[in-house]
Order: sequence, then structure tokens, then C-alpha cells
Amino acid sequence: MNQQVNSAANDRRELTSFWSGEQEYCVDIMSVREIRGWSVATPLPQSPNYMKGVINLRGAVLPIMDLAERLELPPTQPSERSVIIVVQVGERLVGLLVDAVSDILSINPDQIQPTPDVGCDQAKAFVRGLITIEDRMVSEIAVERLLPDPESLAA
Amino acid sequence: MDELEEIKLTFFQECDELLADLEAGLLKIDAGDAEPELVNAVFRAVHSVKGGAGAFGLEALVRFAHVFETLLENVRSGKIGLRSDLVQVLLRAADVLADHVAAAKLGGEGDIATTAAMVKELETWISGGPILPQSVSEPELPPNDDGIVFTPVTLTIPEVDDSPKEQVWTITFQPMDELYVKANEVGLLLREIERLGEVEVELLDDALPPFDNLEPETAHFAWKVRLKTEATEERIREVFEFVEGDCSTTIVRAASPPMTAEPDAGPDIAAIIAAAQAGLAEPPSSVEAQSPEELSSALDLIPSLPAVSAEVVPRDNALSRQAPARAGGEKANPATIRVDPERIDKLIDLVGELVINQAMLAQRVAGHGFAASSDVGRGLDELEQLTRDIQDSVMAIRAQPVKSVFQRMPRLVREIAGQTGKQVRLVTDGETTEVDKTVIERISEPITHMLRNAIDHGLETPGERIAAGKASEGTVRLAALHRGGRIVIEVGDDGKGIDRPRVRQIAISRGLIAADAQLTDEEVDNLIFLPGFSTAKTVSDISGRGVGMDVVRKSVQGLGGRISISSRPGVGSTFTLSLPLTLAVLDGMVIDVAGQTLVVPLSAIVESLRPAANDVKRVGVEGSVLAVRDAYVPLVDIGRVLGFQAEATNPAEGVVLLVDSEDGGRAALVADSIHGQRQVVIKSLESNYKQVPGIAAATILGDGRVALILDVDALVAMRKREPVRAHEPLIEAAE
Amino acid sequence: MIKVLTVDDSRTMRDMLRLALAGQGFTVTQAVDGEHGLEVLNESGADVIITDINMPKLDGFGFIERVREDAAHRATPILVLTTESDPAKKVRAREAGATGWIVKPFHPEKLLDVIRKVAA
Repeated sequence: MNQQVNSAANDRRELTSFWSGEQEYCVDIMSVREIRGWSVATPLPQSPNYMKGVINLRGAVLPIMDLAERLELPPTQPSERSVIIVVQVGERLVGLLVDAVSDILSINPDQIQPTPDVGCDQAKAFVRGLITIEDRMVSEIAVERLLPDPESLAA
Repeated sequence: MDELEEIKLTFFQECDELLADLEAGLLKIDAGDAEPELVNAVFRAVHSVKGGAGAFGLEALVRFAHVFETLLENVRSGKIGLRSDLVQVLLRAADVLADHVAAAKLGGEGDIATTAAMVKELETWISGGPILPQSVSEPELPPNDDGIVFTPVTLTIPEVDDSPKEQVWTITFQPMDELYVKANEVGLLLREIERLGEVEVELLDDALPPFDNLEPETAHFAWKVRLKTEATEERIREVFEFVEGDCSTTIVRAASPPMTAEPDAGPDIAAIIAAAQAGLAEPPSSVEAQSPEELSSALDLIPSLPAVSAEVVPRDNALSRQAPARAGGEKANPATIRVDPERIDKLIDLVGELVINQAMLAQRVAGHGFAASSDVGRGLDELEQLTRDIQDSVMAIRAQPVKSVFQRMPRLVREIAGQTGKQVRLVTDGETTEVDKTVIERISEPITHMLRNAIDHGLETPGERIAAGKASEGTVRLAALHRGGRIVIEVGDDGKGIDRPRVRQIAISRGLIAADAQLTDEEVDNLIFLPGFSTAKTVSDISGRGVGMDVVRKSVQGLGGRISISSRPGVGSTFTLSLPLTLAVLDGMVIDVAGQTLVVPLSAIVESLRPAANDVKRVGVEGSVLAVRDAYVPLVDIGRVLGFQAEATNPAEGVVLLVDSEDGGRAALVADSIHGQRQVVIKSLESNYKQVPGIAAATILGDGRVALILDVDALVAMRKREPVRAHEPLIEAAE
Repeated sequence: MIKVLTVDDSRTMRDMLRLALAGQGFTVTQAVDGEHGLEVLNESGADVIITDINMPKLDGFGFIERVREDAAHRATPILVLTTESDPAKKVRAREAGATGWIVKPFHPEKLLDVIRKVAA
């Protein structure tokens, strides 16, 4: 019996959820390094539109990506209330521009459902799965797929 | 990391130092320095390489080092005179040794044929010496005790009979004074014997004089030991190895066992526990377990030692092995401390943050209307000064003399000389000039190319030199110096100088310049840096390798450096390379372009101007040029090329930065305004993102925002290829 | 704890000795040549000395002689660490006052054995 409790506890995952546009998303809390307010980014030439530029993160140069735009949704309008979620992807850090942080979710893995075919390639490519909590539906983002390939230069 | 692996790294590090010393020493000898200590130092270097290599079982390296060392030993002892042809052989042997070390580093062995040839040559010299102690015709591993290398292995007890049988031995020994003079001790010898088996000891004090006549430092006693053991006579004799000649010893096998022999019960658990509690337990790999009886009998022996022996520490101290002893051993070089380079890099990063923070603070304070003369303003000035001093000091920690790079060059010169059939003397100067580690790592390649070029294209063959009335041996000079906050490296030769008519002709035939172009001598000389230019009659193995001076120039510019050449026909040429002292900070011009703040490396800027409207001429639909004195320079609108603005800034309303671009031509970059010069800390874009076309790196300005540092060459290239095409030229430019 | 002074101009050898001795109940101090060895000996003393022969400034022979001149270290065991197979070198080291020798490359167990042989 003890074992059962343990394994259930071990398997539980914690996720940080946030709003972008009209939808709620989440990422594994282990990959979140920091959450900070929006500050104006220095634009990068020859870069995709979703790359908002770079900011100074305590001496390091942090690229900022508009999550909504990356998902080919209408771009986020940055405001003082906007939030940057700094996530770690491998060795790199990237800041995700979103509208607001909403919650910390603690879920069982079986609560995550595979992404249904919704006919939107970008959403399918970047969403790992769907989580239903009460009447909310939260999409888990596969952060490692968000960043452009470091080897390739901007098209 | 495994500690042994770490020592191996130390070993290779030390090898590099030793090889450098070896070469430097030989070169000094070659230059006529007759200081005898030089030969000793050279010998020691090879000797130490061999010693360490032996410890790691690098047999090929040991074998070669051994032959080399043997020859050097003969030189050192004066058996062979140091003739200049011998020094040349030694220099080449040093190269082969270096090859072996390099191969061993990668887990391999040096080239067999080269080694064999070199060994043969060395042996000829060894046997050619006036006195030959022994034939060294077959290089052998130097004898060592057991041939076991320093790796954790299970212990084998040497010299144990295949079918061990207990025998009883009678050992008598009488120490002479000499034994004590060398700090050997009877007690310890007895202990060693006791380790071999069961002992009975008898003290023979017949020779002890009456007390009045007792000489405290004279040996008076003798001992007789009955030993029951399985050990061989050799093993017993080994106990006396160190005192041979310092005592008279007889070892006789007794006819029959006199002692009441107990059957050997083997170590029982209680005994082992007792021994362990007494702090005497040996590690599992140790030779034998001692029974408590044996131990106590050994302890009993101690009081019977003569007064003349040194103080006897109870032996359990000697054997206690429980306490982990962290070596207090880093005293080796009290004048220096060893620090992990990562810690220094971290410190440099932090100081970089400090510089940025100081600038941010200053900007904010100024924004609040404090006058520079106010207390706050003065305090900030002092803070700025202090910050700069700290930065300089920290950078100085990481600074290294260029010696490490220069040291590799004599070998290169020898090789190129050999391949080209030219006689070359390399002279170096300013080896102690220091530069940041980030730069050191990257100057070796351009220097290599400049030296290759100087010897291959600059110097004449011995025949040509003699015909020109010069010494048959050419001189190449490699020098480093600090000038204007930069490091300058010069590679000069006393060769024929640049053949200007020929360079011109090639440039015209390749379409690099117009047939009627009016060029100064300097401009002609610098044509050799144009892409695709090569004056070699055949694709030479030396300067070839597909690398021309254009590539060298490009890589130098990538480091924020400049390279130029000056030449005098018949007298020689000099390459001058100038580089920043560090790649951690950069002197830049801060400019505004389309509402963005950008930094242009100062090293790229020739001058800045505010052009008059009528100096700007349109060419075709989109292009325009700027008339600068009597030349037309293409205008590059930074904002447009980077995609920050659709319409070009009117150069007459903005500022123009005249820059040298990679193809040797000039370009005029158009910006909105200039803020001024500033030293900025270089931040990588790639660490969190990726390379961006036209951008070399980023920095953080006083307002805390990120500013991009322009890659001038890439920018100019991008304008030419407008609209920007595929990636490859951009990647290339950033290399 | 037994204090061992190792004198060797090779960092590799010094590290090797430290590795072999540390953790076996020995405190290890190091010196880079004979002169430095005398300094360290005066400062920190030693129960056993292991010295190389070929060293700059003051070689192993000279070092041993100087150690033996000092009454405080007349009875300190000195082991010569050497790759030399030349018996003349051993004889010279013994004449200078060396207690014994260790031939490089050494096996760590062998090294401990030899130290045990001379150290009380």
C-alpha cells in the first residue's frame, strides 16, 4: 500500500500555467527558471516575427519569443501587465512573452491527453498534450520545439 | 575525474613545458651559449619526460626518450663534444619526442619509421663518442624493479616459491657505524625479517665495551635471528638491500627445524579483529596478515635496540592507515597559486557586470540632475576609476605571455626551411608581451601563415641570396609589442621584398584591378590580401593548403584586428598584425540607427564624417556612392540592410562611418547619429540564441538594455548581395 | 602520522607520490628542487624524505649531503627516487647518506613497502 502512495506521489507532475491570447497553456515547472515583467527588447535583424528581440537577464543576453505568434495566433500586445516566463531548453534560456501567469497545476500523468488533430499544424507541433481541469482545458507546450534550430540562420 | 587521469593531464601539461624548455635550451646552445647548466637542463627535460612516461606505461615514448637521454648523458659527461651538427640532430630528436608526446596524448604512439630513423641517427652519435660505455644498439626499456607500471593492480608477492615450503634460516648480522649514518635501523630490519615468518632473536653483546669506553656513535651489537619462513633466500637478502656493505650478514639454512613448529592455522577471525583494533590492520591487498603473537614479539624487540639508533617510534604509528591523509603537499611552489581557469573566467564575467552596472548607475544619477562636481558625481567618478582598475587587474590575471605561441614557431620554421631548401634563422623578440587568453588562443594561426609566407615567398634560396650579395642564411624576425592598447605582432624577413610589377600584373590578369589603375606602392603591396590572389608559381605545399593571405586577413578581422604589409625591394618585407588585447571587451563607437542603439567596433572604423549633400551620388536605381576626397565609396545604409527601416537615411542628414571591408575596399556606413566611443563588454548571442546575420555579438549598455555589435564585413557583404540571399556567406563571415 | 617530504622537479612525479602516499596514513609535503627541499625541511620537518637525483639548483646528491650535515636530520631516512639503472649513481647516493632507493616507475605498494622498510 505504501508503495502505491509513493509511486503516485512520484509520478505527479507540477506545471506552471499561463494565459496567452484566449487560451491557457502550461510548461513543466522544472523548466521554469524565472518569471519577470515585460521590458522593451532590442530587436534582432533578419529574424522571424515571433522573435521579439533580446533583453538583459542579469548580464546574459536572453532572446524573447512571443508564444502566441509562434503558434501562429494573433501577436501579443506587450503591456506593463505582460509577463516573460524564462524557461530552460537544454543549455539555453529563452523568454516566453505571455499575457499572465495563472496557476500551478499538480496533476497525474494520466490526466494528460494526446493532442487531437485540430487541423492546425503549429498548434500540433508545439503542444505536447491537453489537460482538462474542471471545466478548463490547458495545453502543455513542448518548449524544446519552440526555438529555431541553432544551426540554421533565419529564413 | 579519476585522480590518476588528472595526474596524467598534469603530466602532459608538464611535458609541454619540458619540451618547450628542451627546445629553448637547444636553440640557445645552437646560438653559441656555452653555459654548462643548459646541457643539464636539456638532459633533465628529456629525463623527466621519460620518468613520467614510465609511470604511465607509455612504452614507445619511454624507449625513444631513453635513447635520446643516453646521448644527452654522454654529452653531459663530456664523452661527446657538442658540435653544431649534433645540435641540429638533437633539435630534430626534440621534434620527434614532441611527436611522441602528442601521439601519447591521443592514446597512440609516434610514427614508427620516423622514430626508427631518428633512433638510428642518435645511436650513431652515441657509438661515435670517444668512449663507449656499453652498446646501446637495441633500445631497451630502462630496467626497473618489477616492470609494473603505476596502475591499480592486484598485488602479487614476488619471489614466492611455486610450492612454498617452510624452512628455518639462521641470520646473523653485525651493523657497522655506516649503517646508522645512513639512517638505517636495526629495529626496522628485524621488523622486515619478522614479516617473512616466525622469528627468534638473540642479541649478541659480546663486543660491548665497558661503559666508560662506550662510544655512543659506534655500533657494538650484533644479532642472530632464527627465521622460520616460506620465503626464499633472495627474499631474505632483499631485506638487507639497503644496508649491503654497511653490515656483515650471513644467511644460513638450518638443517632441521629447531623450533616447535605449530601447524600454520592461518589468520583466524579473532586475530584479525584484534589486529584491526590495534590499528594494525593492513589493507586487503596487503602482503600478509600478522598474528597478534607476531606483532607482540616484534614490539618486544624494540627495547633491545642499542642506544645509538635513532628514536624508535612505536610501529603501530608507522603502519596506521586509517586516517585519510589529504596531502598538505601543495607547497611546491610558494610563489604562485594554481587556480581553476573557470574561476577566473567567472570573475571576469562578474567584473563585466560590475562595469555595466557602474555605467547604468552613472546614467541614472545623471538623469536625476546631479552635477558632475557634486559629491555624488565625484563619488561616481571614483567608482568608475576603481571599476576600471579592478577590470584591468582581473584581466591581468588571465593575461598570458605570447611565449607559449612563439615557442611553437622554431619547429615550424625548421620544417618549412627543410621543405623549401632555404636556410632560415628565426629571431624572436618580445616573448613576454602579455595578452588575454581569449586572444592567445587565436593568434597562433595567423602567425603561422605569416611565417610560412615570409619563408616561402619572402626569402630567396641560398643560391639567389649569395648572387644578391647576401648571407646564404635568411633571417625571419617574429616580434610582439604593446602599442596603443593593442598587441602588435610583426613578422619580418630580409628577403627579396614584394615584386610589385608582378603583383600588379597578376591583379590585372585576375580582374582585381583595372589595367590603368593608379596605385601607390602600399596599395600594390596590400593587393596580396585580396581573395583569390596568390603569387606562388606552383601551388606550393607550404603557403598552399588552400589558404591565401585573404583568409588570414579575414580571420584577423574577425578578431577585431588588422593586418598589413610593408616591403622594400631587395631588402625584405614585414607583416604587421594588430589585435585587441582581449576578446572579452571591445572599444566601440555607439551609434543610433532607426531608433536602435548599435555598437561599431572601433577597429573597423577609418574615420567618421558628416558629408555634404553634393558628395552623395546616385548610381543606378538603388545604389549610391559618397565622394571622399578623390575616390567614390559605396554607401551602406545600416538600418535598411538590417531591415530596421524601409527607406535609407539621407547621408547628408546623418553621419557616415568610413570602414575598411574585407575585400580591401572601403565602404561608408550611414547612421543617424553618433553617441561616442565606449568600451563595452562582449556578450554572446549564440549562447542562448544563435548567430544573427550582420551582427557580431551583443553588449549591455548603461541603461541596462542590450545593444547589438555590428559585424562590419558581413554588413557590407549583405548590402552587395541585396536582397539578402542564402546563409552561407554570412556564416563564412562570422568565422 | 608520518610526514613524508618529496623532492622532485617533475610535477607529475610529485603528484604521483602524493597520490600513492596520501590516504595511506602519510602527510605529504613537496619541494621542487634540492634548495627548496632544504627550505621545506627546515620549515616543516619530515619523518621520511624521498628525493629525485636530477634536479635544477641543487641535485639529489648535494641535497642528501646537506640534509645529513644537519644534526636534526642525521637519522631521517632518505630514499632516492630515480630511473637510473646505473649502479654508480646508487653508490654515490649511498655515499652521500641515502638510506635506500626507489626505482621509477614505482608501484604504489612497492613504494609503501620501501618506506616501511626505512621508517619507524
